[in-house]
Amino acid sequence: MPNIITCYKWVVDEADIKVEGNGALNFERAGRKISEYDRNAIEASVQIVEANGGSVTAVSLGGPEVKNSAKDCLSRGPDRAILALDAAFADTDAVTTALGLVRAIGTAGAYDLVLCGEGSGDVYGQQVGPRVAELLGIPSITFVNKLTVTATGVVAERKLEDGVEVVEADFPVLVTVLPDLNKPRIPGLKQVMGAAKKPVTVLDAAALGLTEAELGARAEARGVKAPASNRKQVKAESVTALAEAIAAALR
Amino acid sequence: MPGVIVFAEQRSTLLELTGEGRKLADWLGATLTAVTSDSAQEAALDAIAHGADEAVVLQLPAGQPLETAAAEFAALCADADLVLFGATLRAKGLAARAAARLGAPLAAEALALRPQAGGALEVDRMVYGGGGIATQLLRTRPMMVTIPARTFPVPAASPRSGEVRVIAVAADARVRVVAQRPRTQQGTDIAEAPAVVGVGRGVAKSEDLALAEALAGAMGGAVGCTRPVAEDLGWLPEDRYIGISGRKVAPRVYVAVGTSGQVQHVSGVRDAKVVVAINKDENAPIFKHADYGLVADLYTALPALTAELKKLLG
Repeated sequence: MPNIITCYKWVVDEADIKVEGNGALNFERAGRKISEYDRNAIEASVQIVEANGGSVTAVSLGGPEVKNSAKDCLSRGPDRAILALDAAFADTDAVTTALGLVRAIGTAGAYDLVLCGEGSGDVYGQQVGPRVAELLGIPSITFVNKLTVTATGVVAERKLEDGVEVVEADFPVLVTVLPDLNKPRIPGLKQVMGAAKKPVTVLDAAALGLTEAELGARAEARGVKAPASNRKQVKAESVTALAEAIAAALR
Repeated sequence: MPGVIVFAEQRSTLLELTGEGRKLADWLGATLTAVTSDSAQEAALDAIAHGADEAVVLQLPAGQPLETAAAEFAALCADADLVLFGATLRAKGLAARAAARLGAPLAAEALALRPQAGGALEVDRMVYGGGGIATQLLRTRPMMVTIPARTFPVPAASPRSGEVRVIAVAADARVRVVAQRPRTQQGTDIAEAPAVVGVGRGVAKSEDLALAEALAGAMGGAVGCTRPVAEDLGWLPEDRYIGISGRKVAPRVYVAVGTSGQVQHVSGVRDAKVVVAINKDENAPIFKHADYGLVADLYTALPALTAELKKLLG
Protein backbone atom coordinates (compact mmCIF):
# COMPACT_ATOMS: atom_id res chain seq x y z
CA MET A 1 0.00 0.00 0.00
CA PRO A 2 2.33 2.73 -1.21
CA ASN A 3 2.03 6.32 -0.06
CA ILE A 4 2.63 8.38 -3.18
CA ILE A 5 3.63 12.00 -3.63
CA THR A 6 2.81 13.35 -7.07
CA CYS A 7 4.31 16.71 -8.05
CA TYR A 8 2.75 19.02 -10.59
CA LYS A 9 3.25 22.48 -12.04
CA TRP A 10 0.50 24.97 -12.85
CA VAL A 11 1.77 26.41 -16.13
CA VAL A 12 0.74 29.05 -18.64
CA ASP A 13 -1.26 27.46 -21.45
CA GLU A 14 1.16 27.98 -24.33
CA ALA A 15 -1.71 27.82 -26.83
CA ASP A 16 -2.96 31.18 -25.43
CA ILE A 17 0.33 33.03 -25.85
CA LYS A 18 0.13 35.74 -28.51
CA VAL A 19 3.16 36.88 -30.47
CA GLU A 20 3.46 40.65 -30.94
CA GLY A 21 4.84 42.19 -34.12
CA ASN A 22 8.27 42.68 -32.53
CA GLY A 23 8.45 39.03 -31.45
CA ALA A 24 7.53 39.76 -27.81
CA LEU A 25 5.21 37.26 -26.14
CA ASN A 26 1.92 38.52 -24.73
CA PHE A 27 0.57 36.49 -21.80
CA GLU A 28 -2.41 38.78 -21.00
CA ARG A 29 -5.06 36.33 -22.17
CA ALA A 30 -3.19 33.18 -21.27
CA GLY A 31 -4.95 30.76 -18.94
CA ARG A 32 -3.25 28.24 -16.69
CA LYS A 33 -3.34 24.48 -16.71
CA ILE A 34 -1.73 21.49 -15.04
CA SER A 35 1.38 20.80 -17.12
CA GLU A 36 0.55 17.98 -19.56
CA TYR A 37 3.37 15.67 -18.44
CA ASP A 38 2.35 16.07 -14.81
CA ARG A 39 -1.16 14.85 -15.70
CA ASN A 40 0.47 11.53 -16.63
CA ALA A 41 2.20 11.48 -13.23
CA ILE A 42 -1.08 12.18 -11.42
CA GLU A 43 -2.85 9.49 -13.44
CA ALA A 44 -0.10 6.96 -12.71
CA SER A 45 -0.26 7.63 -8.98
CA VAL A 46 -4.04 7.28 -8.92
CA GLN A 47 -3.93 4.02 -10.93
CA ILE A 48 -1.31 2.55 -8.59
CA VAL A 49 -3.42 3.34 -5.52
CA GLU A 50 -6.59 2.02 -7.18
CA ALA A 51 -4.80 -1.30 -7.73
CA ASN A 52 -2.72 -1.56 -4.54
CA GLY A 53 -4.29 0.74 -1.95
CA GLY A 54 -2.28 3.51 -0.32
CA SER A 55 -2.63 7.27 -0.69
CA VAL A 56 -1.85 10.06 -3.13
CA THR A 57 -0.69 13.48 -1.97
CA ALA A 58 -0.32 16.08 -4.71
CA VAL A 59 2.33 18.75 -4.19
CA SER A 60 2.84 21.92 -6.19
CA LEU A 61 4.91 25.10 -5.86
CA GLY A 62 4.36 28.50 -7.38
CA GLY A 63 2.97 32.01 -7.00
CA PRO A 64 -0.31 32.65 -5.11
CA GLU A 65 -2.36 31.98 -8.28
CA VAL A 66 -1.43 28.29 -8.08
CA LYS A 67 -4.13 28.00 -5.38
CA ASN A 68 -6.59 27.82 -8.30
CA SER A 69 -5.04 24.53 -9.40
CA ALA A 70 -6.13 22.51 -6.37
CA LYS A 71 -9.63 21.67 -7.61
CA ASP A 72 -8.43 20.60 -11.05
CA CYS A 73 -5.70 18.46 -9.54
CA LEU A 74 -7.85 16.85 -6.84
CA SER A 75 -10.65 16.07 -9.31
CA ARG A 76 -8.13 13.80 -11.06
CA GLY A 77 -7.98 11.56 -8.01
CA PRO A 78 -5.36 12.54 -5.40
CA ASP A 79 -6.56 12.42 -1.78
CA ARG A 80 -5.13 15.76 -0.69
CA ALA A 81 -2.91 18.60 -1.85
CA ILE A 82 -0.02 20.48 -0.29
CA LEU A 83 0.62 23.78 -2.02
CA ALA A 84 3.83 25.78 -1.54
CA LEU A 85 2.58 29.26 -2.46
CA ASP A 86 4.52 32.49 -2.25
CA ALA A 87 4.99 35.53 -4.46
CA ALA A 88 8.71 34.65 -4.34
CA PHE A 89 7.94 31.32 -6.05
CA ALA A 90 6.47 32.90 -9.20
CA ASP A 91 8.90 32.22 -12.07
CA THR A 92 11.52 30.89 -9.67
CA ASP A 93 14.33 28.61 -10.83
CA ALA A 94 14.76 24.85 -10.51
CA VAL A 95 17.06 25.21 -7.48
CA THR A 96 14.40 26.94 -5.39
CA THR A 97 11.57 24.85 -6.85
CA ALA A 98 13.25 21.59 -5.86
CA LEU A 99 14.14 22.91 -2.41
CA GLY A 100 10.59 24.14 -1.77
CA LEU A 101 9.02 20.89 -3.02
CA VAL A 102 11.33 18.87 -0.77
CA ARG A 103 10.34 20.96 2.27
CA ALA A 104 6.67 20.56 1.35
CA ILE A 105 7.10 16.80 0.91
CA GLY A 106 8.73 16.81 4.36
CA THR A 107 5.38 17.88 5.87
CA ALA A 108 3.48 15.03 4.18
CA GLY A 109 4.57 12.14 6.40
CA ALA A 110 6.14 8.87 5.24
CA TYR A 111 6.21 8.26 1.48
CA ASP A 112 7.25 5.38 -0.76
CA LEU A 113 7.11 6.81 -4.24
CA VAL A 114 7.44 10.32 -5.68
CA LEU A 115 6.15 10.85 -9.24
CA CYS A 116 6.82 13.82 -11.52
CA GLY A 117 6.31 14.55 -15.21
CA GLU A 118 9.51 14.29 -17.28
CA GLY A 119 9.59 18.09 -17.64
CA SER A 120 7.24 21.05 -17.41
CA GLY A 121 5.19 22.29 -20.35
CA ASP A 122 6.56 25.84 -19.99
CA VAL A 123 10.32 25.86 -19.31
CA TYR A 124 10.89 22.11 -19.90
CA GLY A 125 14.18 21.99 -17.98
CA GLN A 126 13.63 18.28 -17.22
CA GLN A 127 15.50 18.61 -13.95
CA VAL A 128 13.21 19.28 -10.99
CA GLY A 129 12.39 15.57 -10.54
CA PRO A 130 15.99 14.32 -10.21
CA ARG A 131 16.89 17.40 -8.15
CA VAL A 132 14.11 16.55 -5.68
CA ALA A 133 15.39 12.96 -5.50
CA GLU A 134 18.95 14.14 -4.83
CA LEU A 135 17.80 16.46 -2.04
CA LEU A 136 15.63 13.70 -0.55
CA GLY A 137 18.61 11.34 -0.78
CA ILE A 138 16.72 8.73 -2.81
CA PRO A 139 17.29 7.14 -6.24
CA SER A 140 15.58 8.58 -9.33
CA ILE A 141 14.45 6.80 -12.46
CA THR A 142 13.76 9.28 -15.26
CA PHE A 143 11.90 9.08 -18.62
CA VAL A 144 9.76 6.09 -17.67
CA ASN A 145 7.01 4.78 -19.94
CA LYS A 146 6.25 1.52 -18.09
CA LEU A 147 5.96 1.33 -14.33
CA THR A 148 5.18 -1.65 -12.08
CA VAL A 149 4.88 -1.36 -8.33
CA THR A 150 5.91 -4.35 -6.19
CA ALA A 151 5.59 -4.86 -2.43
CA THR A 152 8.99 -3.26 -1.80
CA GLY A 153 9.74 -1.02 -4.76
CA VAL A 154 9.29 -0.42 -8.47
CA VAL A 155 10.33 -1.90 -11.80
CA ALA A 156 10.50 0.86 -14.41
CA GLU A 157 11.29 0.95 -18.11
CA ARG A 158 13.15 4.05 -19.26
CA LYS A 159 12.78 5.05 -22.91
CA LEU A 160 16.25 6.35 -23.80
CA GLU A 161 18.00 7.29 -27.05
CA ASP A 162 19.75 3.93 -27.38
CA GLY A 163 16.87 1.73 -26.28
CA VAL A 164 15.01 0.61 -23.19
CA GLU A 165 16.70 0.42 -19.80
CA VAL A 166 14.85 -1.61 -17.18
CA VAL A 167 15.59 -0.37 -13.68
CA GLU A 168 14.53 -1.80 -10.31
CA ALA A 169 14.59 0.32 -7.19
CA ASP A 170 13.56 -0.08 -3.58
CA PHE A 171 11.15 2.33 -1.91
CA PRO A 172 11.45 5.23 -1.46
CA VAL A 173 12.20 6.21 -5.05
CA LEU A 174 11.36 9.05 -7.42
CA VAL A 175 10.16 8.34 -10.97
CA THR A 176 9.63 10.84 -13.81
CA VAL A 177 7.14 9.74 -16.44
CA LEU A 178 6.71 10.11 -20.20
CA PRO A 179 3.37 10.91 -21.89
CA ASP A 180 3.02 7.40 -23.34
CA LEU A 181 2.83 5.87 -19.82
CA ASN A 182 -0.96 6.31 -19.71
CA LYS A 183 -3.95 8.34 -20.88
CA PRO A 184 -5.00 10.76 -18.12
CA ARG A 185 -8.70 10.50 -17.29
CA ILE A 186 -11.05 13.43 -17.84
CA PRO A 187 -12.70 14.19 -14.48
CA GLY A 188 -16.48 13.99 -14.40
CA LEU A 189 -18.86 16.27 -12.53
CA LYS A 190 -18.84 13.95 -9.51
CA GLN A 191 -15.05 14.03 -9.29
CA VAL A 192 -15.04 17.82 -9.63
CA MET A 193 -17.65 18.18 -6.86
CA GLY A 194 -15.75 15.71 -4.66
CA ALA A 195 -12.50 17.61 -5.15
CA ALA A 196 -13.89 20.60 -3.26
CA LYS A 197 -14.15 18.49 -0.09
CA LYS A 198 -10.57 17.20 -0.14
CA PRO A 199 -8.01 18.78 2.21
CA VAL A 200 -5.62 21.42 0.85
CA THR A 201 -2.68 22.65 2.94
CA VAL A 202 -1.03 25.93 1.95
CA LEU A 203 2.49 26.77 3.07
CA ASP A 204 4.45 29.93 2.23
CA ALA A 205 8.23 30.31 1.94
CA ALA A 206 8.55 31.24 5.63
CA ALA A 207 6.48 28.24 6.74
CA LEU A 208 8.79 26.05 4.61
CA GLY A 209 11.81 27.61 6.34
CA LEU A 210 13.33 28.95 3.13
CA THR A 211 15.94 31.67 3.65
CA GLU A 212 16.60 34.71 1.46
CA ALA A 213 19.66 32.98 0.00
CA GLU A 214 17.62 29.89 -0.84
CA LEU A 215 15.06 32.05 -2.65
CA GLY A 216 17.64 34.14 -4.51
CA ALA A 217 17.71 34.30 -8.29
CA ARG A 218 20.85 32.58 -9.56
CA ALA A 219 20.60 33.41 -13.26
CA GLU A 220 19.54 36.75 -14.68
CA ALA A 221 16.54 36.46 -17.00
CA ARG A 222 17.11 38.46 -20.17
CA GLY A 223 13.75 38.09 -21.83
CA VAL A 224 11.77 35.69 -23.96
CA LYS A 225 11.01 36.18 -27.65
CA ALA A 226 9.22 34.17 -30.29
CA PRO A 227 11.76 32.28 -32.41
CA ALA A 228 12.35 34.27 -35.58
CA SER A 229 11.37 32.38 -38.72
CA ASN A 230 14.40 32.42 -40.98
CA ARG A 231 12.50 30.63 -43.74
CA LYS A 232 12.03 32.18 -47.19
CA GLN A 233 8.24 31.64 -47.24
CA VAL A 234 8.11 31.49 -51.04
CA LYS A 235 4.87 30.36 -52.63
CA ALA A 236 5.60 27.62 -55.16
CA GLU A 237 3.88 28.42 -58.45
CA SER A 238 3.70 24.82 -59.62
CA VAL A 239 4.61 21.27 -58.70
CA THR A 240 7.38 21.43 -61.32
CA ALA A 241 8.91 24.55 -59.76
CA LEU A 242 8.73 22.95 -56.31
CA ALA A 243 10.36 19.73 -57.57
CA GLU A 244 13.24 21.78 -59.03
CA ALA A 245 13.79 23.59 -55.73
CA ILE A 246 13.81 20.28 -53.83
CA ALA A 247 16.15 18.63 -56.31
CA ALA A 248 18.55 21.59 -56.10
CA ALA A 249 18.68 21.25 -52.31
CA LEU A 250 19.33 17.51 -52.54
CA ARG A 251 22.09 17.62 -55.12
CA MET B 1 39.77 22.36 -9.46
CA PRO B 2 38.88 25.65 -11.19
CA GLY B 3 38.24 25.26 -14.86
CA VAL B 4 35.92 24.00 -17.50
CA ILE B 5 34.53 20.46 -17.39
CA VAL B 6 32.77 18.71 -20.27
CA PHE B 7 30.84 15.46 -19.90
CA ALA B 8 29.28 13.22 -22.54
CA GLU B 9 28.24 9.59 -22.68
CA GLN B 10 29.27 9.20 -26.31
CA ARG B 11 32.59 9.74 -28.01
CA SER B 12 31.39 12.09 -30.77
CA THR B 13 29.55 14.39 -28.35
CA LEU B 14 32.51 14.34 -25.94
CA LEU B 15 34.81 15.54 -28.74
CA GLU B 16 32.35 18.24 -29.88
CA LEU B 17 32.10 19.59 -26.34
CA THR B 18 35.87 19.30 -25.92
CA GLY B 19 36.31 21.61 -28.92
CA GLU B 20 33.90 24.22 -27.58
CA GLY B 21 35.15 23.69 -24.01
CA ARG B 22 38.72 24.43 -25.13
CA LYS B 23 37.66 27.82 -26.50
CA LEU B 24 35.73 28.65 -23.34
CA ALA B 25 38.61 27.48 -21.11
CA ASP B 26 41.02 29.74 -23.02
CA TRP B 27 38.57 32.62 -22.65
CA LEU B 28 38.34 32.03 -18.88
CA GLY B 29 42.07 31.29 -18.57
CA ALA B 30 41.18 27.89 -17.11
CA THR B 31 42.01 24.23 -17.62
CA LEU B 32 39.75 21.82 -19.51
CA THR B 33 38.78 18.42 -18.11
CA ALA B 34 36.89 15.94 -20.28
CA VAL B 35 34.78 13.44 -18.33
CA THR B 36 33.04 10.36 -19.63
CA SER B 37 31.63 7.15 -18.21
CA ASP B 38 33.03 3.71 -19.00
CA SER B 39 30.57 3.56 -21.92
CA ALA B 40 33.02 5.77 -23.85
CA GLN B 41 36.23 5.01 -21.94
CA GLU B 42 38.38 4.81 -25.07
CA ALA B 43 37.30 8.37 -25.91
CA ALA B 44 39.18 9.80 -22.92
CA LEU B 45 42.56 9.77 -24.70
CA ASP B 46 40.94 11.14 -27.85
CA ALA B 47 39.51 14.03 -25.81
CA ILE B 48 43.04 15.02 -24.78
CA ALA B 49 44.15 14.94 -28.42
CA HIS B 50 41.17 17.14 -29.28
CA GLY B 51 41.94 19.80 -26.69
CA ALA B 52 41.41 18.62 -23.09
CA ASP B 53 44.18 19.07 -20.52
CA GLU B 54 43.14 15.93 -18.67
CA ALA B 55 40.43 13.29 -18.85
CA VAL B 56 38.43 11.46 -16.23
CA VAL B 57 36.60 8.15 -16.62
CA LEU B 58 33.76 7.53 -14.18
CA GLN B 59 33.79 3.80 -13.55
CA LEU B 60 30.32 2.60 -12.64
CA PRO B 61 29.87 -0.64 -10.69
CA ALA B 62 28.06 -3.31 -12.74
CA GLY B 63 24.31 -2.77 -12.99
CA GLN B 64 24.33 0.84 -11.84
CA PRO B 65 22.63 3.63 -13.78
CA LEU B 66 24.76 6.64 -14.78
CA GLU B 67 22.96 8.88 -12.28
CA THR B 68 24.59 6.96 -9.42
CA ALA B 69 27.77 8.91 -10.24
CA ALA B 70 26.19 12.25 -9.17
CA ALA B 71 28.17 12.50 -5.90
CA GLU B 72 31.54 11.80 -7.54
CA PHE B 73 30.70 14.09 -10.46
CA ALA B 74 29.56 16.93 -8.18
CA ALA B 75 32.84 16.65 -6.25
CA LEU B 76 34.73 17.17 -9.54
CA CYS B 77 32.60 20.25 -10.29
CA ALA B 78 32.71 21.87 -6.84
CA ASP B 79 35.27 24.53 -7.83
CA ALA B 80 34.62 24.58 -11.58
CA ASP B 81 33.67 27.73 -13.47
CA LEU B 82 31.67 26.00 -16.17
CA VAL B 83 30.34 22.49 -16.77
CA LEU B 84 28.93 21.43 -20.18
CA PHE B 85 26.97 18.18 -20.57
CA GLY B 86 26.04 16.39 -23.79
CA ALA B 87 22.26 16.41 -23.35
CA THR B 88 21.38 12.72 -23.52
CA LEU B 89 18.52 11.64 -21.29
CA ARG B 90 20.82 9.88 -18.81
CA ALA B 91 23.22 12.82 -18.71
CA LYS B 92 20.32 15.18 -17.98
CA GLY B 93 19.63 13.14 -14.84
CA LEU B 94 23.30 13.15 -13.84
CA ALA B 95 23.49 16.92 -14.45
CA ALA B 96 20.33 17.64 -12.43
CA ARG B 97 21.46 15.53 -9.47
CA ALA B 98 24.98 17.02 -9.48
CA ALA B 99 23.53 20.55 -9.77
CA ALA B 100 21.21 19.85 -6.83
CA ARG B 101 24.15 18.76 -4.68
CA LEU B 102 25.94 22.01 -5.51
CA GLY B 103 22.86 24.26 -5.30
CA ALA B 104 23.72 25.36 -8.82
CA PRO B 105 21.37 26.41 -11.63
CA LEU B 106 21.40 24.30 -14.78
CA ALA B 107 20.47 25.67 -18.21
CA ALA B 108 18.89 22.76 -20.09
CA GLU B 109 19.38 22.14 -23.82
CA ALA B 110 21.13 25.38 -24.65
CA LEU B 111 20.82 26.49 -28.29
CA ALA B 112 23.62 29.04 -28.06
CA LEU B 113 26.34 30.12 -25.62
CA ARG B 114 27.71 33.67 -25.73
CA PRO B 115 30.62 34.66 -23.49
CA GLN B 116 30.04 38.01 -21.76
CA ALA B 117 32.20 40.44 -19.79
CA GLY B 118 33.40 39.27 -16.39
CA GLY B 119 33.29 35.58 -17.19
CA ALA B 120 29.49 35.46 -17.45
CA LEU B 121 27.76 33.38 -20.08
CA GLU B 122 24.58 34.24 -21.99
CA VAL B 123 22.50 31.19 -22.90
CA ASP B 124 19.48 30.79 -25.20
CA ARG B 125 17.02 27.95 -24.74
CA MET B 126 13.63 26.96 -26.01
CA VAL B 127 10.53 27.42 -23.83
CA TYR B 128 6.72 27.13 -24.20
CA GLY B 129 6.92 24.06 -26.40
CA GLY B 130 9.09 25.88 -28.94
CA GLY B 131 6.93 29.05 -28.85
CA GLY B 132 9.68 31.12 -27.25
CA ILE B 133 13.43 31.46 -26.95
CA ALA B 134 14.45 32.51 -23.44
CA THR B 135 17.78 34.21 -22.83
CA GLN B 136 19.46 34.07 -19.45
CA LEU B 137 22.77 35.20 -18.04
CA LEU B 138 24.73 32.70 -15.95
CA ARG B 139 27.26 34.14 -13.55
CA THR B 140 27.41 32.23 -10.26
CA ARG B 141 29.83 29.27 -10.19
CA PRO B 142 29.63 26.59 -11.33
CA MET B 143 27.69 27.57 -14.46
CA MET B 144 26.07 24.32 -15.66
CA VAL B 145 24.62 23.80 -19.13
CA THR B 146 23.35 20.80 -21.11
CA ILE B 147 23.78 20.96 -24.89
CA PRO B 148 22.28 18.71 -27.58
CA ALA B 149 24.62 16.54 -29.64
CA ARG B 150 25.78 17.97 -32.98
CA THR B 151 25.63 21.60 -31.77
CA PHE B 152 29.37 22.09 -32.32
CA PRO B 153 31.82 20.63 -34.87
CA VAL B 154 34.41 18.04 -33.79
CA PRO B 155 37.76 19.88 -33.65
CA ALA B 156 40.94 18.59 -35.28
CA ALA B 157 43.19 16.32 -33.23
CA SER B 158 46.77 17.29 -32.44
CA PRO B 159 49.59 15.55 -30.58
CA ARG B 160 48.94 16.54 -26.97
CA SER B 161 49.48 14.76 -23.71
CA GLY B 162 47.53 14.69 -20.50
CA GLU B 163 46.62 12.44 -17.64
CA VAL B 164 43.64 10.07 -17.71
CA ARG B 165 42.23 9.43 -14.25
CA VAL B 166 39.75 6.72 -13.35
CA ILE B 167 37.29 7.51 -10.58
CA ALA B 168 35.50 4.51 -9.10
CA VAL B 169 31.84 5.34 -8.41
CA ALA B 170 30.36 4.01 -5.16
CA ALA B 171 27.47 1.61 -5.71
CA ASP B 172 23.93 2.41 -4.57
CA ALA B 173 22.35 -0.92 -3.60
CA ARG B 174 18.86 0.61 -3.70
CA VAL B 175 18.81 0.87 -7.52
CA ARG B 176 19.77 -1.67 -10.21
CA VAL B 177 19.69 -1.81 -14.01
CA VAL B 178 18.27 -5.28 -14.65
CA ALA B 179 18.01 -5.28 -18.45
CA GLN B 180 18.87 -3.23 -21.51
CA ARG B 181 17.12 -3.63 -24.83
CA PRO B 182 18.81 -1.81 -27.71
CA ARG B 183 16.51 0.25 -29.89
CA THR B 184 15.32 -1.77 -32.83
CA GLN B 185 15.24 0.39 -35.88
CA GLN B 186 12.06 0.01 -37.89
CA GLY B 187 13.12 1.18 -41.32
CA THR B 188 15.47 4.14 -41.82
CA ASP B 189 16.53 6.31 -38.91
CA ILE B 190 14.85 9.63 -39.70
CA ALA B 191 17.62 11.54 -37.90
CA GLU B 192 20.13 10.21 -40.45
CA ALA B 193 17.99 10.58 -43.59
CA PRO B 194 19.00 13.29 -46.12
CA ALA B 195 15.32 14.01 -46.78
CA VAL B 196 12.30 13.57 -44.53
CA VAL B 197 8.60 13.69 -45.37
CA GLY B 198 6.64 14.64 -42.23
CA VAL B 199 3.03 13.49 -42.15
CA GLY B 200 0.39 15.31 -40.11
CA ARG B 201 -3.30 14.91 -39.37
CA GLY B 202 -4.16 16.35 -42.78
CA VAL B 203 -3.55 12.87 -44.15
CA ALA B 204 -6.91 11.16 -43.88
CA LYS B 205 -6.18 7.41 -43.81
CA SER B 206 -3.23 5.26 -42.84
CA GLU B 207 -3.24 3.79 -46.37
CA ASP B 208 -2.38 7.28 -47.65
CA LEU B 209 1.03 6.96 -46.00
CA ALA B 210 2.02 5.13 -49.19
CA LEU B 211 1.93 8.52 -50.99
CA ALA B 212 4.38 9.94 -48.45
CA GLU B 213 6.55 6.80 -48.66
CA ALA B 214 6.70 7.17 -52.45
CA LEU B 215 7.72 10.82 -52.17
CA ALA B 216 10.36 9.98 -49.56
CA GLY B 217 11.59 7.16 -51.80
CA ALA B 218 12.03 9.53 -54.74
CA MET B 219 14.22 11.77 -52.53
CA GLY B 220 16.17 8.89 -50.98
CA GLY B 221 14.65 9.80 -47.63
CA ALA B 222 12.34 8.56 -44.91
CA VAL B 223 8.88 9.27 -43.50
CA GLY B 224 8.37 10.91 -40.13
CA CYS B 225 5.25 12.39 -38.57
CA THR B 226 3.72 14.67 -35.98
CA ARG B 227 3.10 13.41 -32.48
CA PRO B 228 -0.64 12.66 -32.86
CA VAL B 229 0.03 10.50 -35.92
CA ALA B 230 2.35 8.26 -33.86
CA GLU B 231 0.79 8.49 -30.40
CA ASP B 232 -2.95 8.85 -31.01
CA LEU B 233 -3.32 7.12 -34.38
CA GLY B 234 -0.39 4.71 -34.08
CA TRP B 235 0.25 4.84 -37.85
CA LEU B 236 4.02 5.06 -37.40
CA PRO B 237 6.37 3.92 -34.62
CA GLU B 238 7.16 6.41 -31.88
CA ASP B 239 10.75 6.89 -33.02
CA ARG B 240 9.32 8.57 -36.13
CA TYR B 241 7.55 11.48 -34.50
CA ILE B 242 9.31 14.79 -34.85
CA GLY B 243 9.09 17.62 -32.37
CA ILE B 244 10.29 19.11 -29.16
CA SER B 245 9.48 15.98 -27.16
CA GLY B 246 10.27 13.60 -30.03
CA ARG B 247 13.04 13.34 -32.60
CA LYS B 248 14.93 16.34 -33.89
CA VAL B 249 15.93 16.09 -37.53
CA ALA B 250 18.29 18.13 -39.70
CA PRO B 251 17.80 16.82 -43.25
CA ARG B 252 18.70 18.71 -46.39
CA VAL B 253 14.99 18.78 -47.26
CA TYR B 254 12.00 18.44 -44.97
CA VAL B 255 8.58 18.19 -46.63
CA ALA B 256 5.66 18.83 -44.25
CA VAL B 257 2.56 17.12 -45.60
CA GLY B 258 -0.79 17.96 -44.04
CA THR B 259 0.78 19.33 -40.86
CA SER B 260 -0.76 22.44 -39.34
CA GLY B 261 2.52 23.90 -38.11
CA GLN B 262 2.28 23.73 -34.31
CA VAL B 263 5.45 25.03 -32.67
CA GLN B 264 5.97 21.72 -30.86
CA HIS B 265 6.41 20.00 -34.23
CA VAL B 266 8.17 22.80 -36.11
CA SER B 267 10.86 23.12 -33.43
CA GLY B 268 11.93 19.57 -34.30
CA VAL B 269 12.91 20.62 -37.85
CA ARG B 270 14.53 23.98 -37.09
CA ASP B 271 17.89 22.63 -38.31
CA ALA B 272 16.57 21.39 -41.67
CA LYS B 273 18.29 23.16 -44.60
CA VAL B 274 15.13 23.57 -46.67
CA VAL B 275 11.57 23.24 -45.39
CA VAL B 276 8.74 22.59 -47.84
CA ALA B 277 5.07 22.68 -46.82
CA ILE B 278 2.17 21.17 -48.74
CA ASN B 279 -1.26 21.90 -47.33
CA LYS B 280 -4.66 22.61 -48.84
CA ASP B 281 -5.36 25.31 -46.23
CA GLU B 282 -3.54 28.41 -47.43
CA ASN B 283 -3.78 29.89 -43.92
CA ALA B 284 -2.04 26.94 -42.23
CA PRO B 285 0.70 28.31 -39.92
CA ILE B 286 3.16 25.78 -41.40
CA PHE B 287 3.65 28.09 -44.41
CA LYS B 288 5.27 30.68 -42.10
CA HIS B 289 7.85 28.07 -41.16
CA ALA B 290 8.58 26.92 -44.71
CA ASP B 291 10.97 28.03 -47.44
CA TYR B 292 8.62 26.80 -50.16
CA GLY B 293 4.88 26.40 -49.74
CA LEU B 294 2.42 24.70 -52.06
CA VAL B 295 -1.30 25.16 -51.50
CA ALA B 296 -2.69 21.96 -52.96
CA ASP B 297 -4.63 18.79 -52.32
CA LEU B 298 -2.26 16.09 -51.10
CA TYR B 299 -3.82 13.39 -53.23
CA THR B 300 -2.95 15.10 -56.48
CA ALA B 301 0.16 17.04 -55.39
CA LEU B 302 2.12 14.16 -53.85
CA PRO B 303 1.99 11.76 -56.83
CA ALA B 304 2.78 14.65 -59.22
CA LEU B 305 5.72 15.83 -57.11
CA THR B 306 6.99 12.26 -56.75
CA ALA B 307 6.92 11.79 -60.54
CA GLU B 308 8.74 15.11 -61.16
CA LEU B 309 11.43 14.31 -58.59
CA LYS B 310 11.97 10.84 -60.06
CA LYS B 311 12.64 12.51 -63.41
CA LEU B 312 15.00 15.12 -61.91
CA LEU B 313 16.87 12.84 -59.49
CA GLY B 314 16.55 9.45 -61.10
